Amino acid sequence: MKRLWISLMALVAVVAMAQTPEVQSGTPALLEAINGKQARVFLQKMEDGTLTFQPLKSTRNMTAPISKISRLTFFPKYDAAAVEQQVNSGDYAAALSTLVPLMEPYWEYMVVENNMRDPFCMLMDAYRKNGDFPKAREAADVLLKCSDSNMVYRGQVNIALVAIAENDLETAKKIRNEVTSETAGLYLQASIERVEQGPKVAIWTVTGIILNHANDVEWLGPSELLCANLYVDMLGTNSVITTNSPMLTARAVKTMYNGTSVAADAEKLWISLGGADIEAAILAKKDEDDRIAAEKREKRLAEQEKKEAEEKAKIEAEEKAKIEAETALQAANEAGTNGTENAEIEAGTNVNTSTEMESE
Amino acid sequence: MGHIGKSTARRCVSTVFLVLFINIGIMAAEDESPGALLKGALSLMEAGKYSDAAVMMSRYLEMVEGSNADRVISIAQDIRFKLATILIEENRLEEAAEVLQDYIDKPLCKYTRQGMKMLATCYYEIGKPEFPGGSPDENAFKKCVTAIETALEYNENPVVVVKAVSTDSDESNVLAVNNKEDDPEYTQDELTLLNLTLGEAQYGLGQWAECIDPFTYVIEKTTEDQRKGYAIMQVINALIKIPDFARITDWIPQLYRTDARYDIRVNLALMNAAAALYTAKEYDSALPLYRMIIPRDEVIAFQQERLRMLRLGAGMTPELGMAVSEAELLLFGGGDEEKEKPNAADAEAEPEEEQTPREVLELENLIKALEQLPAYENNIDYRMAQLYERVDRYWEAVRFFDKVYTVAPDDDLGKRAIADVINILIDNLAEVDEAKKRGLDYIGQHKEGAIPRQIAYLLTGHYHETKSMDEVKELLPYIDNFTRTNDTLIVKYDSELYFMQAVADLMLFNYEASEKGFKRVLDEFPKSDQESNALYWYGASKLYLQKYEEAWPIFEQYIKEFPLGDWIDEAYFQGGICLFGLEDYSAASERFTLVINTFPDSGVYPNACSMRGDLYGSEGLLDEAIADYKRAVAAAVVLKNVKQATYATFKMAEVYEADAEAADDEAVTEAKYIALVDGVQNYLDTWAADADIAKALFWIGKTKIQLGLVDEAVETYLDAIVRFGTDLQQDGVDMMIAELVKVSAIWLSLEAQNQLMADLQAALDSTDNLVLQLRLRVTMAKLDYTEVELGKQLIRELPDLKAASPPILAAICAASFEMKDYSRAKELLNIFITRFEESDYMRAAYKLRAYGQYDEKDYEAALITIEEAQETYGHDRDVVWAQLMRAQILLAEGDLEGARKANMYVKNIPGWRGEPVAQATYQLGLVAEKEGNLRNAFGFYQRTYVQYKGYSGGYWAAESYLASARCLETLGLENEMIMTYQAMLYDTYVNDLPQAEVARKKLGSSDVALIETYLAAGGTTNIVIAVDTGDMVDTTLVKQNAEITPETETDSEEPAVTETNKAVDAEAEPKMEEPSETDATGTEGES
Repeated sequence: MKRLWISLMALVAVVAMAQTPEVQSGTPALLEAINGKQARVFLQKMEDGTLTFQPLKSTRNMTAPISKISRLTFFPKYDAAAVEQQVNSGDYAAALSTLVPLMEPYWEYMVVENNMRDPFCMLMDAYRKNGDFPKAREAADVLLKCSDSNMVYRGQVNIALVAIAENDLETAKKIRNEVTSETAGLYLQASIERVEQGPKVAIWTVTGIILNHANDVEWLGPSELLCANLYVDMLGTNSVITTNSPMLTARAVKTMYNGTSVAADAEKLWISLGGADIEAAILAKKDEDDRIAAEKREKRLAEQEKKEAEEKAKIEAEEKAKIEAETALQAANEAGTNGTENAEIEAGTNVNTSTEMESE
Repeated sequence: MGHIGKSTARRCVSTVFLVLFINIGIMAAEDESPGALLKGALSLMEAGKYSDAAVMMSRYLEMVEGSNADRVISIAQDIRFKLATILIEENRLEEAAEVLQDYIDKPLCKYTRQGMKMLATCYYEIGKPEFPGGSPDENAFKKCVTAIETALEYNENPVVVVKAVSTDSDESNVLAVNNKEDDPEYTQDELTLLNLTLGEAQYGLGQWAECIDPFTYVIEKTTEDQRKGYAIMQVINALIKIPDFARITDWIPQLYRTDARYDIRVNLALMNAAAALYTAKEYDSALPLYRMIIPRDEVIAFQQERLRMLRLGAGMTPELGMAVSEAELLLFGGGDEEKEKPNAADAEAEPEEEQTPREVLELENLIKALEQLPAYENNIDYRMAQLYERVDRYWEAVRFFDKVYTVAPDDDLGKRAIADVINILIDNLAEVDEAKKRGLDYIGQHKEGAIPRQIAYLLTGHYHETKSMDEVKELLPYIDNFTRTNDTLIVKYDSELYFMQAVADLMLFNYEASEKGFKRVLDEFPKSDQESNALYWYGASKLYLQKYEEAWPIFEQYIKEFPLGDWIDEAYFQGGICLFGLEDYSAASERFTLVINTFPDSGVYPNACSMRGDLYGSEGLLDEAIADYKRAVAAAVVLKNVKQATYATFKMAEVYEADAEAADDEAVTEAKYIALVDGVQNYLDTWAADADIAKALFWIGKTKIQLGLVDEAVETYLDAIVRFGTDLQQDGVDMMIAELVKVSAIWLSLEAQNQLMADLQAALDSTDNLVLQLRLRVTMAKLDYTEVELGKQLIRELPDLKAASPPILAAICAASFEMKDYSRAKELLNIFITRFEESDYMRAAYKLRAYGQYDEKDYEAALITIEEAQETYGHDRDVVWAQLMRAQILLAEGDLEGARKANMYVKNIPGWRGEPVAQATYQLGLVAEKEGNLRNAFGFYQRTYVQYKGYSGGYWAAESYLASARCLETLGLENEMIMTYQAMLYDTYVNDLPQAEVARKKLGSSDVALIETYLAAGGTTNIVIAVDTGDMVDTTLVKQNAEITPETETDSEEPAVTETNKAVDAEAEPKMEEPSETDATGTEGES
């Protein structure tokens, strides 16, 4: 009997185990094949142009060459606007603290068209702007493998900018000759010239962007910021360029591209050049001037009121004196000659009184 | 009857019906009952006779005005609505507004919202300006605003509004809110349009703050990019009007993202807005607005594409006369295909113009207008360039100005732009080379108008500022090539440019050129702005050329013509300098006194004091001189002019020194030296780093020597030479070099001299500065008497003389002199005159120059140089060459009396005793010999070889022996001649000189051997040849002179006295005699 019970328990356990739903591992995604078919999958890995995945509710690994995959749709839970705001505010460290864990499951799949490429590009830029060049280059390398020419272009530009920052001008020059965007090429050329030939040569190139590519929204802001930095390069003991040039340029970039990372970077430069202090001082002076002007205005009004009150009092006193004099004269007339004299005396006294008041 | 088309048939039927309706209408009109009027009006309306219908409707409404019956009221309201619609259609807006107002105010209004909307539209249309930029009808706009506000309020809460407008109505109507089907709430489009209209009306009324909300509503709600952009633009305009610039920048990026940028009205508004922001110095806001302005051709292209789409959308060909492709029809459709599709089969189709939608027509007209509008982008670029310049973004400014110039180089704007480019390159970017390159390129090609002149003026101004006068002169050929006109501006530019050219000449010390230049300005540009300046500097140029006589009337003219001129005090003062130059010292002193009394605050006051002090000093009025120098020093402090203080201080030191040296009382002497040191020390304390420290230290050191503090003086000098010797213009250093050499020779022990040399060598080893190196080398050369060798070395070594200070130049002069190389004499003297006019070392250059001129037999020029040297240095011993050369020139020119006097003058100056007298005596012999007075000549020669044989290494004595032998031979006194030659060979001062060879040849070998044997045996003799020389020489004198020649031992044997009758060779050429080695350095005399 006991054995029977044990057998029954074991059977129940086996059944129970068989019925417990298994938790699938991997990165959940909606996979769309080039023939239009879609499937919910858990991505396992990407290796040598081959994607390994498990279909939903299956632990069986399947593979497909990426050339057969049209798009992946991921399901991340994150506040895209908040991340963008972090990047656009120029707080790249904060942006990285969000983007690195966010992108970690998706990084290796970026070569396939997907809905996380924008944050991935943000991550790449944030790495570069935060000075983590190896990671920036690593991210850019991923984009270079994409079939989307725009992604390749973004990867190229990033690698070139990293190369310039690391003084690897040969790489930068090579990429400059490869990028399809004329404006991007000019921007890279100016950045290279900045290192190789100094700010004067570079600024001539970059002002060409401002002059001839004013509608290139992507590059105009960075070009103007580069201008500001080139003006900084030109500062020196014997230079005719003063701090005003970079400061006013940075201020303009900050204002014109408000809400972008370029504006945030410009603001940092502007502050470092003392722009904020100067502006605060100007505002403080303006406030002070306004306060003084208001005080003067109030004082003037008070004086005017006082003067008017005095005038009014004077007129009233005069009228009162006149009435009293007339009354007295009338009384004197009524009283006869003596009375007239008295009245005149009285009136004279009154008149004198009014004169005294007047003089007051 | 043939075939007719379907449409024609349709028209026939329509016409029949129309006639029928009209007849009914007319019949109704004849029947004046309300019902008939109503019926007739509706019939006319259906027949399209809107005007007649409107008349009938009005009459109907008049008739039923007093009715209270709901049905009548309801019908009347319906008629009002219809009537308003007709009136609007007929553009009778004021009547329509009246009817609509009635409609809204009265009960049983079925389409209240629509009525309100129509009323607002009527008022807006009435109120809007007749032409863009005109004034609106304010009353209509106010009614429009009220109507829209009411409409919007009603739309939100119809009950409340009905109550408000129906207070006089029957209570039953109060709640007669229309049902939603008849009077639906405004659609989003309607709300947007109402807000846009409200914003426009408020904007038209100048209610800037109020209009922002409705425009903002439009921006938020509209789906049309054009409308959104327009609304943003209006918000920006309103914010400019308020003004509230801070908020503008928030809107700009939004506008940037809309297609409204391609609307020409938006572009024009952008220009206005940007200009307003620019004026308000809101550059950060103005810049993006300017950037947003799209070039005209781009706007046209965009609008043409839009037109194409609109036409396609309206079922028309993309362009007039073009066939629509099937693909275009497929993509863009043709609206209501059945209705709109053109019927090709219908031969009587109406022309396209008649069926073209209004929007298409408007856009076509807009494009036509745009095409007629001149391109404005260059103006925008120019404005942007100006804006960049304002915010210190100079490189961007250059690029934009450059573009404007490149696009339209011959337009006014382009020309202004190139001038702006050059201006920024010079003033703000210091890219002067680039500015010069572009500037010269431009003015080389453009010779007319103001711009080339402006560019030349910019360059000239910069070069003047940086004192690059050679560069200024480079511009002259360009300026000369400009086409001259009588245009006021051109004349003004030309006068300025030529004036600045003359100033450059003046600064380059090219006084002859500046004299001509200022004259040119005066002659060619009379009454120019620069006339007074040109006149003054014309006089000054003449003054610098020492044309005192010519300069004097110029300054007088200035004083007369410009009594209030900028240079009036200077003119008075320079007049004084002219008088001084003309040696009218008393008048000069009076003039300086006038300046001192009249212009106590003038910049020339210290100069006048110093000049008068100099005059007092020359008259021996030392106290008065010192008083004037002190005045000069005090005024210079007020004027902050170190040069004036320097001059007065050191002139005062000279006076103190002279005073001290002249004093008999030791205490007085010491007191004067102390006063000297106090004066110099006060100068150093006052001017600190700006002072001529080297010169001050020179004076202090010099005074220390006088007070017996030699070591301290040497140390002071050495330190000062090393410290300040790198500055070429520190002439005090050069004075110290001379003083140090003198001190070393007189006061220092051999050990101390060696130490000094070692210290100098150490200083030389430790400096890389060429100026100092040269100064140290010349000091050492002077100390070890190798100055000429150094000079020779430097001639080879120095590529130019830029780093050479006066002692170095003097050494080079000495070396050149020794080598008889006069090729650089003129250059060297010019360097002194232009750079080191006050230097004492210049005397060497005068000498070299005069000898060069003499060598070239340019006697007149040589006499001028001699005159200048003697004027400058007077009876200084080392300038005695000038007097001796004067005598030689006069002799060469046959002025024997003049030559005699010149030589006798040398003998009369105590300071010139010794060697110069030896030469003068010999030269007197030459004069007498040339006169034919050989005995007299013999007398001078004999005196020379007897009395001055010790000078110049026996040179003059040797020459005199030969000359006297020549005279004796001519006189036929053969024996005396032989004895003279013998005496020459016995004379150990001369017998080893080259001249002695002549004597040896004349005497023959046996006589010579005899003499040499005699001398070798230690024998000495003194042969005296006695010749009757008249009054001039007697043997007693000869004997006495022989005795005072210390090195000459006289023999006991009486000298033979020989007479001769031979004629003298009167044709003998005067020749320049060998000078002493150290004469040319200019310092020999002092030491």
